[in-house]
This record gives sequence, structure tokens and C-alpha cells, in this order.
Amino acid sequence: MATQATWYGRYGVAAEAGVSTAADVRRVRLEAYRLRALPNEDVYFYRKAIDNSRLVRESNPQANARCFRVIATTSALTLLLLVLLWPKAYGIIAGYQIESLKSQQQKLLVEQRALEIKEATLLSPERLEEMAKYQQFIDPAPGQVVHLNPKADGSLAMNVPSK
Amino acid sequence: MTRKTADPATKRLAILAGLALFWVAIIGLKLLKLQVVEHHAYLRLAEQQQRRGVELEAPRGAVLDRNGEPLALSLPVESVCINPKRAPELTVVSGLLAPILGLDRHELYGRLKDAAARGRGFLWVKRRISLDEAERLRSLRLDWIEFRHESRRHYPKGMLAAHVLGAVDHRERGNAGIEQGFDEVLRGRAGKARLLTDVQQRSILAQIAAEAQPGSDVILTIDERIQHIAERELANAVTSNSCTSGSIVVMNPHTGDILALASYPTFDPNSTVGSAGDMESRANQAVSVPFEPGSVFKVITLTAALETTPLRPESIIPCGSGRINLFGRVIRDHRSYSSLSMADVLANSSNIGAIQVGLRVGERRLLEYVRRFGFGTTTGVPLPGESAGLVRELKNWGKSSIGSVAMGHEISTTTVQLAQAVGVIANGGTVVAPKLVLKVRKPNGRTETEPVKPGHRIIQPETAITMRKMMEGVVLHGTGKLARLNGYTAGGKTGSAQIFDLQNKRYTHQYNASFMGFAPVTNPALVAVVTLNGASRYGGAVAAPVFREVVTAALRLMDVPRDLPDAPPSREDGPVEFDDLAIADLGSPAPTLPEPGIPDQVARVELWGPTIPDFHGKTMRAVVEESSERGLPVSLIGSGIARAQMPAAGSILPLGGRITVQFAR
Repeated sequence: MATQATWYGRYGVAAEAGVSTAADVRRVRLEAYRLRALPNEDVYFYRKAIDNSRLVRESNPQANARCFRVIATTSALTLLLLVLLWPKAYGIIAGYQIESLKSQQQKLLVEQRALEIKEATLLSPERLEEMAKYQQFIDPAPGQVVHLNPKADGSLAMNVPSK
Repeated sequence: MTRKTADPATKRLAILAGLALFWVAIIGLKLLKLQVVEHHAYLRLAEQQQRRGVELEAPRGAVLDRNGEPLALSLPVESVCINPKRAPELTVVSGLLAPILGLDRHELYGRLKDAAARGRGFLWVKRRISLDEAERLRSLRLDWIEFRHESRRHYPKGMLAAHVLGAVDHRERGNAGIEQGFDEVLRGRAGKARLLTDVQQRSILAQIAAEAQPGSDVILTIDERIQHIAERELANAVTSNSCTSGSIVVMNPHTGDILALASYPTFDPNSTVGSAGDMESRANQAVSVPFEPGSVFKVITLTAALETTPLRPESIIPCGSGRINLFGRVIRDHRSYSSLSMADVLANSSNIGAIQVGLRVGERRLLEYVRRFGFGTTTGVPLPGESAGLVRELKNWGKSSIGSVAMGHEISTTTVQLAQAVGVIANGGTVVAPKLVLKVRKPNGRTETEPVKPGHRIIQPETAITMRKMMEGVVLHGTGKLARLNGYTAGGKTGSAQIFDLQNKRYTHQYNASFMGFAPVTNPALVAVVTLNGASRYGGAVAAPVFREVVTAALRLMDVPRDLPDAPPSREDGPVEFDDLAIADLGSPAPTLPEPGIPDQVARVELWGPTIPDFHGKTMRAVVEESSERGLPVSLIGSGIARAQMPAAGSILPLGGRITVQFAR
């Protein structure tokens, strides 16, 4: 069984063993080097069972009550603080949201107005006329359009008896 | 008895508690200093940082045409400014702002340096920035960058109705047209709000001190489709006839609604005023520039005669073979007529005939009727700079002034005044003030119709109907043949007034060529007046075709029922006489400009020839058989059964005429 002290002090064994000369020390060290053990080869751990079952906590009702009072008071104060601060905090959060939505609304209104302007520009009579010319849409020549004159009963067509 | 000593743990706890208490006490003292001792100072600093006053924008109202099509709109934009005193290092500022705003860094640095050197606390960095630029600047969250709400006026239809709309200045205040006339209505009133912001300048709460009141929308009587056609035809006429300027007004004679009002040369209201030429193009020729009307004014003379003398359309007026001596001044006609009926005086635009009629009316009564028709006073259209024209008092008339005024000289009118005057003939004798604004739409959506000035009767309905027929004669067989419409009857009067050269003090051979008319004749749906200034040809040749094109299109757009069948343009029309020159230089012979290709003779309506049979309900074969049997030339259109024919059955086919028969199934 080895302790940590043994472990850390194992290279000091030579000095403690009365080796004084430099040649001896070198020899011991060389030997130690040559014969160095595997790491932790000489370390052993063991479990020591301790039985605390006989220990009994002494009951202290006053301390318990004081503890509960502190917890209750702190909780109540925290709750009160929350209740008092919540509307304010909520108001600030809501304020941010409202202002953000207002800004968004304004942006959308501007965008809508910009689109209206664009639409009006695209629908200008001059542009439509140019497009119509490009598409070769032309006004019908005089006489090319036949207007049906409705009869008294409102009918626009009639069957002509074949001769 | 042993003294009870505290264990080390309790001691350490007591020391810790003491330290905590000391710490709390220090904080408490600091808080006391901040909250109580220096309360006001810190409150002021906090308010400076957290609260700021902002202006709530009130956008300018839109201008719409009668169908709700937008003609002018405002787009809210932001401008960015800084306080050079508050800004950090100027090189940093210019380096930061210039790339975002697309400005030259060195130029911006120079401006900042200059402003700082002069101790100015305000500098516009860039006005009317884009949304993207504003967003990028805002994301920097720098408290020395300020944004100001502005708006930019857009005219999405470009030059359409430019003279009606006008324009706005850099402060968005109207400086011409309806923008100026209705500036108070269109302009909104900005509101104010106090904004609570956090340390990053994000707004938390806005407290509105004064509510913003947006401007009202103005809905015009203008129809953008008719306006476009009027502008197009006017521009074509002015450029193709080498005129200096021109104007046109199309109006509903019953309500006074101006459906189109155009002036040429024109301008783009989106651009700012540039050169002096640009300023000239911004002048509204139809409203602000009076001119001598010439022969179109004969309508007023003849109307006064019908009302105040026993003269009737068929009354014979001596025309002195084209020459008259008026109080020692010799006045010549453009043609030598010995005598004409009063209807023909109008149709052929005889100056001597008009003078003779004017003399019968008398100068006092003529002046009264001139004033009754609204000449000499503004019409009240809400456009700035409207001219009242010039009508001289009777005491300022010369001896021969009656002759001049009778044929439209020594008097000046605007195109819109002429539209009001011809509207009287068209609507049956009531003078109705021209109207340009239909209604005003409030921001809450409520519309207020513009009050209509009640019209008042100035001539008898019979007189108006008689004048309509006489003016139809001008179009059918007079100087206004080129104003004949396809599918509609029309009446009108041509006019060509010499332009006075102020430098040389004499009349030139350039004319104010005009045409005023209405259609259809029986129940006129609209009147139109066309004026071309600086024309080298007469009104019947240059202004009447503009009337024809604009009015035909306008009637079609307005769904006015046709009162004539559509017919291809007749090739058998006789030669056209346009000469309607009102000779202004009363002492000199009339200058006569030869019309290229137009023989100098009066077209006549032949009243003899074969009677036209009734083809209605007949097949094409039957129509061809019957017409060839009688030797009548026919034009067949369509297929099926004959539905319509022109001229009507029972009438006389003019010499060289052709019957047009329309077939439909």
C-alpha cells in the first residue's frame, strides 16, 4: 500500500538512504531510470466503509420556522415586486411592439403609395397608346363597324324567311 | 461562569454582513445623491436623451381625374440632416454617410467643414432619400443623425394635363395650376408628437400633442382619356402647321364640366423650372393668354341680331360686293358677295355681312350681348392667372369699332371664355360657368361636391336652336367642312384673326386660327374650342380637323348615341373654302392666302337629283338590282339585310353623291 507522500517522494529515497556522492546519486538515478516501474504500478486504493447510521440530526423547530418565514417573506416580496413591476415592464415591451408596428405600417403605406404611383405610370394613356400601336391595335376604319339597330322589342337579330 | 465567545464562522459572517451593509449604505447614499440631490439635473439630461419632439407628417392630397385615375400623388420620404456641432470627427461622418447616401465623400466633408466653421447647428446632408438609404442610416443608431419627414410630389402621367395640374415648389406648395388654386385644400397640416426613446434611439411610446391632418383629394372634371386625345391632336396640329402655340378646351355645355383643357407647348410637372423657354411652356394658353378671336365672334354678333332685331337666318344681308365704307374707312371682304342670307353670312364667314348685322344691332346692344356671354370677365376656373380678356367700354369705342367687334377684333378673349360662350348656344341659352373641380374628398372619406354656380339664361331657347342650325350649316357647307364628324352631327364656327405685330405696329399674315363647335346638334353633349396661334393657314383648315378628331373620340368615349350612320369619308365632297379671315386692318385690302390644292370657290349643296329609294329590310341582291335599275351609285357595307342607309330614303341624292347601305344579319 502506498500513499501519495510515498509516491511523490520516491525519488528522494536515494538521498534519504545515505547516498552522498555524485557518482552514487547518478547510479541510483540511472537505476531508477532503467528499472522504472509502470505508472501507478505501486499505487493502491481501497474503500473504507463508514457507518453514519447512528448519527441523528437534532430537531430544531425554531430554525425551521425561521427558515420558512424567510422563504415566505422573500417569495411574497418577490411576488409583490413582480406584480408592481409587471405592468410597467409589459407597458415598455408593448410600447416597443406598438412603435415597431407603427413603423411597419408606415413603411407599408409608403410602399402602397409607391405601387399606386407605379400603377398609374404604367396605365398612362400615352403608354397604353404606344403599346396598342406596337401590338397593331388600330381603330376600325369608318364603315368597318356595323351597329345593330335594335327593333322595338329590343331584339338585335331576326330570322329571315328563306325565299 | 465562562464568557461565551463567538465561533470563527460567526465572526466571519458578521464581518461579511458588515461589509455588505457598508456596500448597501454607499449605494444608498449614491442613489440619494442621484435621485434627490441632483434630481432635476439628471431629469433634464434624461429627457434630453429620451424624449424628442417629432413632426407628424400630413401628406398632400391627391389630384384625380373624374374617373378616379390619379394625376398627382405624394409619396412620403425622409430627408437626413445633422448638427455639425454634435457630430464627431467630420472625416468619420463624411466617410460614414457618403457611401450610404451615394454622395461624394470629399464634397460632403467640405460642406460639413464649412458648416462647422460658420458655427451652423443644422445641415441637410441629403433630402428626399430612398427607403433603403433611410433604413441603412437608421440601422447605424447614431443619435447625431436626424431624419425629417417630407414628401415628394409625383405626376405619374407625365405631361398629361400639366397646365391643369400645375406644379409644386420645393416646400410642396402649389406654384401653378390646380396645385396653386386648391393649395389650401390639398395641403395637409402637420401634427406634433413627443416620442419616448431608449438609449439606442428606438421609440418606446409616442404621445401625440397635435393630430396630423392630411390634405384632401381633389377630383377634377377632366377625363384623362379625352385629355390625352386633346393634347395629342393639339400637339400634332401645332407642330405640323408650324404654329407658335395652341390651346383646346372640351366642355360639357350643360354642367360646365371641363373634360379636357390643353395648352401647347407643354411641360413635365415632375421636373423643376429650368430655362426661360421652360417658363414660357408653363403658360396656360387656354386660360391666361387672351387673343383676338376673329370670325368665331360672329356667332355673338348674329345671336344678338336674332334677339334684338327682326333678322332671321333667311334674311338677306347686303354685302356690298365685298366692300364697305365705314365712317370713311374702307373694309373689304375676303370674297365679293353681293348679298347673302344671314345663315350664309355665318357659313361663309362674310365680314361685310357680319358688319352689316352688327350695325343693325347697334353698338350698345352688341356690347351688352358681348358682356352677357361672359367676355370681359373671368370665368372663375380655379386656375391662377386667369385673364378676363379685353372688352372696352363704349366710351372708348371708335366710330368703326362696331365693325371690328362684329367680326371679332378690338376685343380679346381666352379659349375658355369662348368655350363658355359656345356652351350657351349648345345648352339652349344659359350661361354656365366652366368647372374644373368636381368634388373634394376629405381624409375621412367624406366627399364634398363643389358648389355649382347657378346658370342664368341670357338668350331665348329659340335663338339658341336657330344658332345651332346656322352653325351646323358652317360645318355642312361652309368654312368648317373639315369639322364634319363621322357618325354625329356637329355645328361650329371657324375663325382666323390676324396677329398684331407690336414692334411694327401693324397686323401680320399670321393668324390666331380657331374653331369652336358642339356635337351632336340636336342635343349637344359637349362643346370644344381649338385655337392655334401663329398659324399661316385659316381656322377651317388647321383648327377644324383638331375639333373633328377630338370630339369624335370624346363622343365615343362618352357613349353618346350616334345620330348619323357611320360612313366612310365621302370622296365626292366638293372643294372646301376655308377663307374666314376677319380683316383686322380695316383700311387695307384683305390679305388672301392661297390654300395649296384647294380651288378658290364656294362649295354648294345641290338640291336636285334622283330621289333615294328605301332599301330597309332588303337583301343585298335586291338593293343592287334596284339601284342599278335606277342608275344610282351605292356602297354596300356588311352582309345580310339592309339595316341603314345614308342619305335617308326620300331625300335627293346630290350630284356626284353615293348611297351607302349598311347590311347586318
